[in-house]
Amino acid sequence: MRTENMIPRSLNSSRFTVLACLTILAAALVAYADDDRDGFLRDVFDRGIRFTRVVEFPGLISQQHNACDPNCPLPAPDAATGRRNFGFTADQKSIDTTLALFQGQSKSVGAPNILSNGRACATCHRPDLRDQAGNVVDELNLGLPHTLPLSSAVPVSDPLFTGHTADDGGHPDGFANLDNHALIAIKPGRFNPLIADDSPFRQVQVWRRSNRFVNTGLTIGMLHDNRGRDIQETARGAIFAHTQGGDIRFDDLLRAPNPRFPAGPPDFEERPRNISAFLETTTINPPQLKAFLNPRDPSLNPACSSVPGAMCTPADCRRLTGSASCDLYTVLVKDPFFTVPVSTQAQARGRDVFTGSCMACHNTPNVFANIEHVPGNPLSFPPRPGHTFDIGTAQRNRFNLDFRTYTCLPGVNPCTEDQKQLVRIVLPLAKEDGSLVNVPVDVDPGTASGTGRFEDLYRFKVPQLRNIGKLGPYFHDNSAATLEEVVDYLTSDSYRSSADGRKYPIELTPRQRRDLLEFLRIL
Amino acid sequence: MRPTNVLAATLLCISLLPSALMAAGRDEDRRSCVADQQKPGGYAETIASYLAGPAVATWTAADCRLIAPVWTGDDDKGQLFAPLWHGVTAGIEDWIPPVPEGSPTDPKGTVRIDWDKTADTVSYTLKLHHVPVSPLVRRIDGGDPEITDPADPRHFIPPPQATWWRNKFHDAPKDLPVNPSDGTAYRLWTIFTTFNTRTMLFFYDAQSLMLLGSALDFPDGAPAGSVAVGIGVAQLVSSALLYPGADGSAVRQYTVGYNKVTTEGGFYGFFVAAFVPHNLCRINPYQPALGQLRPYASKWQPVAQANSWDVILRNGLLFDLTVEEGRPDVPPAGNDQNQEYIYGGAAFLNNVPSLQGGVPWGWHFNIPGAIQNVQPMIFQVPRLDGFVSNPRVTAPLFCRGQ
Repeated sequence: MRTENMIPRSLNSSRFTVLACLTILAAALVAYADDDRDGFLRDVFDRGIRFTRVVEFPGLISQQHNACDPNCPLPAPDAATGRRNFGFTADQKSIDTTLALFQGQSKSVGAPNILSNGRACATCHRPDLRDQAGNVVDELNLGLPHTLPLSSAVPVSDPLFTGHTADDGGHPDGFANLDNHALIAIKPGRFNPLIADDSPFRQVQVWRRSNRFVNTGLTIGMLHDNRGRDIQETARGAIFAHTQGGDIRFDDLLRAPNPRFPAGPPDFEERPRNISAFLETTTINPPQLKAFLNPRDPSLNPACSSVPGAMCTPADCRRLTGSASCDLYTVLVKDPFFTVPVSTQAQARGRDVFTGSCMACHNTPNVFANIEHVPGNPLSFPPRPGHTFDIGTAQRNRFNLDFRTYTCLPGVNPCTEDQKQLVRIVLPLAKEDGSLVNVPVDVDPGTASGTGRFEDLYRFKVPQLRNIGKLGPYFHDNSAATLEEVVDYLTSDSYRSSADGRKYPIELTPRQRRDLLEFLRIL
Repeated sequence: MRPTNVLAATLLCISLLPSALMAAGRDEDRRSCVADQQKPGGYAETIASYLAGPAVATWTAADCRLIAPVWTGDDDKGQLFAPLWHGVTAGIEDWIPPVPEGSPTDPKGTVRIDWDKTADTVSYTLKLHHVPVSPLVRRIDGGDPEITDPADPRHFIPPPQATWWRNKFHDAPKDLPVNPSDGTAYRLWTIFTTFNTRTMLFFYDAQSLMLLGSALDFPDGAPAGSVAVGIGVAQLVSSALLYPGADGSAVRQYTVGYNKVTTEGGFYGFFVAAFVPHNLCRINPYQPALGQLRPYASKWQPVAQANSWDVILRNGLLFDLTVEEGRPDVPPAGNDQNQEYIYGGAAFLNNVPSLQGGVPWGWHFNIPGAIQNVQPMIFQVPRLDGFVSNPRVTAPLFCRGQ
């Protein structure tokens, strides 16, 4: 050792003491240096993201198709067929899986046939619950019932429950976590054919909520950890995961049956594309935000006008641009609260609190997701098209969830139930300086479970906030039941000690807390 | 042991430990500027200070310390400052030459781009530090993967035994320089319109299913007896050649238009590159990145077709510094593009600034993973050894059930 050789000979008799001293001091210094350096590397990593004033969502399926060359080999996506592929009746009040199940002989898999477990998109993204008279009793926003346990609202004979092992592989906590917390087992790297079955990135399993769908598409990146570049890819992964129990890709089954192309269209991803078109167009709330779908389409982005019923007026244009002429998109971008119906003093004060305390992250105007991203089309180079944040909810693990993976013994895959065991996964993650660190998965790793980046640990996407009062429970793990719990968490020590909580601390007086909640409820 | 000895030992280890740890860090990383990089404090200030002023043509503290891409501004006026590391990104089938033995530090480069829509400028500052001077590229011929006769001397040899394969759609020479008196030089490629965002038609012979060419090769339409397949493509522009000095350093500053981003000197608009099956039978249509994907390079396209910088930003960026045939006969500022093969397929320094944090030093970006959007997209590689990037020269004959 270089250091040892530099110790004077007179100290040889105390070599043990010196080495012990060195070891202790080195450990202390390295630990300090590592902590400090990790924070430094995280800051460096974040400088690869930037704020942009350009409000655009290039991952939208409609924009992708518009960008396709005139000789584009892909058919235009069809939202109406997408609704049927999703599993809804025409009135979207009931589940109809006629065109939403994925089974049959897959050329890419071969024998045996893929057998559906009865699940469709609509199994976890359900229509509103209604009483006998057809009145909505639980507005789900294409999510799971708010009532827990779920089995009190959905029969246990429903594919939601009967098919749960397709997600959790028979994990001992699988049914209970679904029923009691509405949490689904997700293996983010499950369908990566480029890495080995036993790679920790294919094995790692997390517990995540099923998102409710509002303004789906008006965010940069999909899923809690942003690993989905667009809805199409996200739908594809969900279909693979929730249809059957194995880690098998059956891409060719994504295109049949389809009434538009009985013999099979030239696009083998047509059903995910249709589903994408359905979700992009039907989940917009409020309707003015359709202007974001395609600012070049005057039917979605009209010019501001004095005509009664116009979505914006020349007065809005003058206020925001100095000119009497502009379009709805411009108004939405320049006035971040244009579509928020503030009507009371408390709501107005709450808006100011929101501006000062929340918009560092929730900064997409009128949507209140996060608009920061690396310049570039999300479809070009993933996995991180958008900015994710560590606010400490993963480390809190409020429900004390078990993040071990229930899997086959090494070398035995597939296997019988009695050959499975709970395995603690260790992820080898890359630090920004190129070094490698092995991180045991004891809580949800967040975005790092996909990207393999140490600086992505415990990060999650910033959700959009429109209709937020009806979208609970909150956070990626449903760990906050109410908006009050969310606000209280964001002013807690747990939040303040998280990486981004330290960067964006939130302090609220009791009155500010009340005002902020008033504002959030009208979003 | 006397207390004075313990005290002396403690004081000694306190005094020696920081320098010992720093020395160990240097030994471990073998990277230039590592001492500066190990200091957390001042990084942001150093980078911000450099970006606040004009780019300078010397290797600065900011170049030294930079470890990941930094973006500032917006699409109209802004900056990108990115490090280039050895072998972190390369096209499929590209050869990553080893760093020569005995190199005291690893090579590094930086690219700074300042763009201004109003001024119609996109200004590059490219710096290389401790790169090999005129490196030789000697690859092992793997033959033609579509020839299966073992008696044929050009019978296919798979990776890793071979590191180069015949490719008439990317007709790069096996060895560089081809002409010893030319030597080699470096060229920076800016790559955009990445693989899943823009498609182009490729034509295959309907009988043999072999690639005939792209829509750029058949401007009058599909050749007779062909089938057309839409495949994602990228577009590239390049710098002129760089010839490092004896110390392995080089700096190049040049400006192109914002509205028409061209090669340095304004000679061409771009060329199209793609990774496509040369034999349509060797591709799984449902998981294309698992089958044969080989390089395709078009001819240079005219300046009139050049893209504007905001379009390029929206399509994502990669940087690839390749080893190319030297062109000592070309006068300064002349057109030194090599029309015979476009690019040599030997990638040396690169990065992906459209990935947050870029690709860390010592890691490699996986293009098949990007095409399929499966993660993680980076994996560790031997830092100083040569290797072929994601070789997918051949694959089973899916159409025959093999």
